[in-house]
Amino acid sequence: MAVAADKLDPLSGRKDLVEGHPTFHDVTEAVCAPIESPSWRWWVAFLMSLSVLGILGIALAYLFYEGVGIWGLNNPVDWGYAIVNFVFWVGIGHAGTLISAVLFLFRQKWRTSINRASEAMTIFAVICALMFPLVHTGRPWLAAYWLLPLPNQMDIWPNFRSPLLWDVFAVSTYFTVSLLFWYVGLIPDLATMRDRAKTKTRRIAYGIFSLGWRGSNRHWQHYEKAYLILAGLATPLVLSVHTIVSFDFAVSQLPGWHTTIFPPYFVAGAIFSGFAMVLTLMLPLRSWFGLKHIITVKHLENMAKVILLTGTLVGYAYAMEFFIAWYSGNPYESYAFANRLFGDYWWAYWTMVSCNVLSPQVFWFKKARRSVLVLFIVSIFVNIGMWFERFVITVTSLHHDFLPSSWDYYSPTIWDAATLLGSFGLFFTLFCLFVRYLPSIAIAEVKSVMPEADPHHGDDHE
Amino acid sequence: MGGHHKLTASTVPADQVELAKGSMWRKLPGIGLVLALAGLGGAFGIHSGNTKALHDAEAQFEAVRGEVLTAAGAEGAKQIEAAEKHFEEAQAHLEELKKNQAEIAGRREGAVAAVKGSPTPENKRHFTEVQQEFSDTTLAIVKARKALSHAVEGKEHAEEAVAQSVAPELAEKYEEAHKAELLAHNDVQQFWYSYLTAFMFFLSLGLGGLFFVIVQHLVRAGWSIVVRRIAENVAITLPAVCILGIPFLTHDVAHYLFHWTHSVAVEADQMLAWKQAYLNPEFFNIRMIAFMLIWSGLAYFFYSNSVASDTAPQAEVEKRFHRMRYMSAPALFLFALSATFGVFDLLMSLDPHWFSTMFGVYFFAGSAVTIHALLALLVLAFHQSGYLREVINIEHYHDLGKLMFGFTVFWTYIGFSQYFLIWYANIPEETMWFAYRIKDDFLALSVLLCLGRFAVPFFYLLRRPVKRNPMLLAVGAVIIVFMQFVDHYWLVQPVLAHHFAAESGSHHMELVVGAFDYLTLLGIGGVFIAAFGYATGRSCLIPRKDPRLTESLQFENF
Amino acid sequence: MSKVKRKKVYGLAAEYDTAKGVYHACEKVRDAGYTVWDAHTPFPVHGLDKAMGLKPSVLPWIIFAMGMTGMTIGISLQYWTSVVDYPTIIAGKPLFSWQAFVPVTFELTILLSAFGAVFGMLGLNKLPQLYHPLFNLPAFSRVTDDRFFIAIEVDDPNYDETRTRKLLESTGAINVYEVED
Repeated sequence: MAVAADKLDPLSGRKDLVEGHPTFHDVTEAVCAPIESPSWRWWVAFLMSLSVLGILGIALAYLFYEGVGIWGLNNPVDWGYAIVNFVFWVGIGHAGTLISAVLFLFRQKWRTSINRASEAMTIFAVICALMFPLVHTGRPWLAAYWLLPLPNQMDIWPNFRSPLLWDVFAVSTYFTVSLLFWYVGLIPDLATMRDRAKTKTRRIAYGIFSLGWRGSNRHWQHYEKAYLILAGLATPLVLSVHTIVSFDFAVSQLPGWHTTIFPPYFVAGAIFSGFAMVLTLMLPLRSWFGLKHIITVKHLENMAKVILLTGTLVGYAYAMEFFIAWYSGNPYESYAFANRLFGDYWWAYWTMVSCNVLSPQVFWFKKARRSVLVLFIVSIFVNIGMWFERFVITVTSLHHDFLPSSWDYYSPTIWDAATLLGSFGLFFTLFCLFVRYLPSIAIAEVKSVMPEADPHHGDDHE
Repeated sequence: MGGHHKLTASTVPADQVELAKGSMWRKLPGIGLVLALAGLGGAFGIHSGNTKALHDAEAQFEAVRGEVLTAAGAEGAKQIEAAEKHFEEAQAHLEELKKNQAEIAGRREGAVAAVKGSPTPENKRHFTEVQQEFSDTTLAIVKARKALSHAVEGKEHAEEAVAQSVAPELAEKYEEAHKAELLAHNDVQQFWYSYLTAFMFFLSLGLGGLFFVIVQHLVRAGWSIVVRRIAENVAITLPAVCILGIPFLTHDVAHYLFHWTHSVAVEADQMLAWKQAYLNPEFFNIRMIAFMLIWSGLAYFFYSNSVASDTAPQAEVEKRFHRMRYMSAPALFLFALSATFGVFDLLMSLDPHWFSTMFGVYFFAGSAVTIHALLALLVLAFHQSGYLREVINIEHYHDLGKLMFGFTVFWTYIGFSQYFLIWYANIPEETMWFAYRIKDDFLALSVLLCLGRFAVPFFYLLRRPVKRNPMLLAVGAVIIVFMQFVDHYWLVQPVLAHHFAAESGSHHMELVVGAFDYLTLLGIGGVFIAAFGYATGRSCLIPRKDPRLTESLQFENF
Repeated sequence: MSKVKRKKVYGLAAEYDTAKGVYHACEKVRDAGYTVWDAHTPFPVHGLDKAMGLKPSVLPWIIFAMGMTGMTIGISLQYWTSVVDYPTIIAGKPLFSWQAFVPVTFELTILLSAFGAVFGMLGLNKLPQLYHPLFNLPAFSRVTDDRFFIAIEVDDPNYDETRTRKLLESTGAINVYEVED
C-alpha cells in the first residue's frame, strides 16, 4: 500500500532520500541556517538540560564530599545503580556507531541524514557512561592511576584477567575511535561552516578545526579510504565493547549472569536502546529545525524496523535463557529465573518485558512506524525497559545468590536517583551544544547520495 | 568504473540465464542420484555387515556369559543373581519414591491453597510439614537414582568378578568377548555418527540458503537479486535432505545416537531424569517432524513464489514479491526458533549433560558464513560453464567476499565467546564438553578449527583485490565450506570417541576419519546435488521479473 | 607608482556547477597529460579518482601495520606484566592465559589501526594546511557548498597560459580564473 508522496526512483524503485528535489545549496542552507540563528525552542531545551545537569553537579559534589556510602549499595548487592547506568549509557552509544559504520558498510544511503547526530550522541553517551566507573571509585582523582596499566606502589600491575580492566581498554578505545570517526566526518562540514562564517571568531574557529580542508579530490581519495576502513574497524569495535561489558557479568559463576549468550544479547540490546534514543533525539530535532525533508518519514520507518528487529533478538535471548535455565537442571539457575518473575523485584522484571518485548511489536503496523507520536512514545518505553533490563540482571542475581543467609533487599537512595537523572542532564546539555554550534546533519554525505551527485546521472542506461 | 555497457532487466541475454538443453547442469540430478546410491549404498552395505558382526559378537558374548555362569557354580550364580536382584530392587524403590512424591505433591497443592485461602497458623504449620515431606522425598529420589546407577554398575561388574574368581582364562575370555562386543557396537554407532555429521553438514547448507533468501527479502537488498535464485535452489534441497533425517526418528537409530534414549541410564541419572519432559523420544520425534515441515514449508514458500513470478503477468508478480517481503519477518522468526531447537535436539543433546544458550547462534554463524562461500563457488561454476556472465559480475563477487569475511568474524566472535565464558568460569559441568574436544587426537582438530575458521580466512579475505578476483575468492570459499564440515565433525564425533574411550577403558580420544565419513558425505551429498540440480534445471537462473533486478545488475561497490 | 609588481601565479582554476561536468572535465585534463593538478568538490564524486588517473592510496598498508603494532603491544604488555614482571596466580588460570588476554589485545589493535587511519590520512593529505593559494579566489568559497573546481598549477610541465585556459574552457566550465599565489 503506497503512502502518499512516496515518489519512487525510476531505476531502483526506491524512495528518494531527500524530499522535494533541493539543490546542493538548499541542503547547505537547510542544515547550516539553524546554527547561525537558533530558535527559542533551542534555548528552552538547553536551559532545561542545564538545570538537570545542575542536579548532577550537586549529586557528584556530595558524593566526593561524603563518599560512596551515600549510595544504597549493601551486601550482597555491591553492584547497583552505577553499573546499571554505565551499561545503559554505553549501550545507547552503540546505535550511533552502528548507524555510522555498519549501515555505511551495508551501503544504506539513508543513514546520511542521521549519522552525524547519532555519532555525536555516541560520544555524549560514552561520556555519561565513563563518568560512572570514574566516580564510583570514591577517589576518582586517583582512578586514572588505578585503571591504567601502571604498576602501583607495590609494583603490582592491574589484573589483565579481569573484565573490569578490559572495560577500561574497551570503553576508552571506543570513545577515542568514535571521537576520531565523528571528527573526520566533520572536517568537510566544518569547512562549509568556515566558508559561510559571518563573524571573524567563527571563521577562525571553524577554520582551525577544518584543518584547511579545500575539497581536493586527492585528499578525498585518502579520506574515503580512511572513512571506509574506520567504518570497518568501528564495526567489530562496537561488537567488542558491549561484549566486554557483558563479560563483566558472564565470566562470573552467578546464576542469571553466567550464560554464553550474553555477548550478542547485550550487543543487540545496546543497538535496541540506542536506536530508541536516536528516535527520541531526532523527532524533536527534525521538526524544530525544519529538517523534515532530510530526516524523512522513511528514515524514521527504517529506524522503527531496526528497533523491531533488535527487540526481537533481545526477546530471543530471553527465551533461550529461560529454556536453558530449565534444561540445564541447575537448581540455582532455575531459581534465579523464578525469582526474577515472581520474587521481590517482579515489578522490575515485568516492566522490562512489557517495555522491551511488547511495546516494539506495535511496529509491525506500517501506520505505527510512520506516526511521530507512536515512535516517540515507544522510544521512551524502550529506554525505560532497557534500563530495567540491566537493573534486573544486576540486582536479582546479587540479592538472592547461593547462600540464603546472605540475602538482602537493595533500595537505591535519593543520591542514586539524582545521579541517574543528572546524567540525562549532562547528555542533553552536550547534545544541545552540539546542535547549536555544529552541523547536525552530514552535509557532504547527504549531497553525495542525491541523484545529482552521480556523474552519470541522466546518462542513457542502455 | 565507466558504466556504459551495463545490463538492465530487459537486456539480459537469454542464453546466459536459461540452461541449454544439453548443459552439464541438467545432468546433475542423474549424477547426484548415482552418487547418492553409491555413497549411501556403500555405507549401508558396510553398516549391515557391521550390524551382523555386532549380532555375532553379542551372541558370542552371550555364550561366554553362559559359560561363566555354568562354570561359576551355585556360589557364582548366587552372586550374579544377587546383583541382578539388587538392581531390580533399586528400580522398584525408585518407582515407589516417585509414586510417593506424586501423592505428596498433591497434598502440597492442597496445603498451599489452604494457606492462601485462610493463612491461619494451623494451615501454615500443615504446609511446612508437607513441604518438609516433599523436600525429603525429593532428596530421597536423588539418592535412589544414585543407588540405581551403582546397582547398574554392580550388575556389570558382578559377572566379571565371578569370571575372575572362577578361572583367569575364563575371565580373559569374558573380557575379550566383552571388548569385541564393544568394538562391534562402536562400529555400528560410528555409522550413525558419521551419517549425522554428513546430514547436519548438508542441512546447514540448506538452512543457510533459506536464511539468505529470507534476509534478502527482509532488508529489500538490491545487490543480491542476481544470486538469489541460486540460494533458493540451495534452500529447496531441504525437503529432500530432511527425508534423509527420518532414520533419526526410529527407535534403533535414536538409541545408537542419543544417550538420553536409554531409559535405564536416564532413570539412574538425576540430571537426565530432570530433562525427560523435553528429552524423550516421543516429544523429540514430534519436534523433529515439526521442524522439518517448517523448514521445507518455508523453503517451498520462497522458492515457489519466486519461480512462479518468472512467468507470471506483472500484476501477479508484484503480488508475489509483496507477499514474500511481507512474510519474510515472520519467516525469520520461525526460522530462528526452529533452527535453534533443531540443533539443540540433534547436536547439543548428543551430550545431554551439557548446555549453552549460545549454541543455536553458533550453528547459525557457521551456516551463514558457509552459504556465502557456497554461493561464490556456485557462481564461479556457472561462469566457467558459460552462464551468468556479466549478469553476475565482479561487484557481486566482492559483496559475497565481504559477507564471507564478515561472517567469518562473526563466527569467531560467537565461537570464542562460547568457549571463553565457559573457560573463564571453569565450572566442570560446562567445561567437560570442551575438555574432551581438546584431548589427545582431538587437540589437533580443535587447533585446525581455530586456524581454518578464523585465522586463515580472516587474513586471506581482508584485502580488497582478493575479494574482486573470482579465482582467489574461490580458494577462500573452498576453505570455508570444508571447514563447515570440520566444524560439524568436531561437534558430533568427539561424543562417540569420548564414550568409547570411557567404555573401552583406554581413556584415549581417538580420531578416525574412515570409510563411513566419506561414503555418507558422498551419499547425502548426492541427494543434495540431485535436489539442487533438479531445481536449477526447471527454472531461469535469475528471478527474471524481480522489480530490483536492474539495480542488482548495475550496482557498484566502493 | 611606476613599478608594476608582477604577481606570482599559482595556476588556473575552472569552475563547474555539476558533478557530471567536473567528471568529464577531469577525464579530458588527465588525457591531455597534465600531472600537477587537482579537482575540488564539496563531496567525493564517485569515480573521480579514476577520471583523474590517480593511483590507489597506500593508506590501507599503513593501517594494517599500525594494527599489527597494536596487537604486538597488547600481547607483549600482558605477557610481560603477567608472566615476567609480577606473576600472580589468579583463579587458577595459567600465567599466560591467552584467552583472557584477547579482549585487551583486540582493543589495542583497533585503537592503533584507527590512529593509523586518521593520522595516516591527515599525513598523506598534509593536513592541517590552513593556507592555500586557492583560498585567495573568492569564488572558491563555494567549493564546500555547490561548486566544483579544477585547478592546474603552473608547476605542471604542460602548463601554458593560453593552451591550458583553452582546454579548460572547452570542458564546459562556467568560469576560468587565474589564481594568485
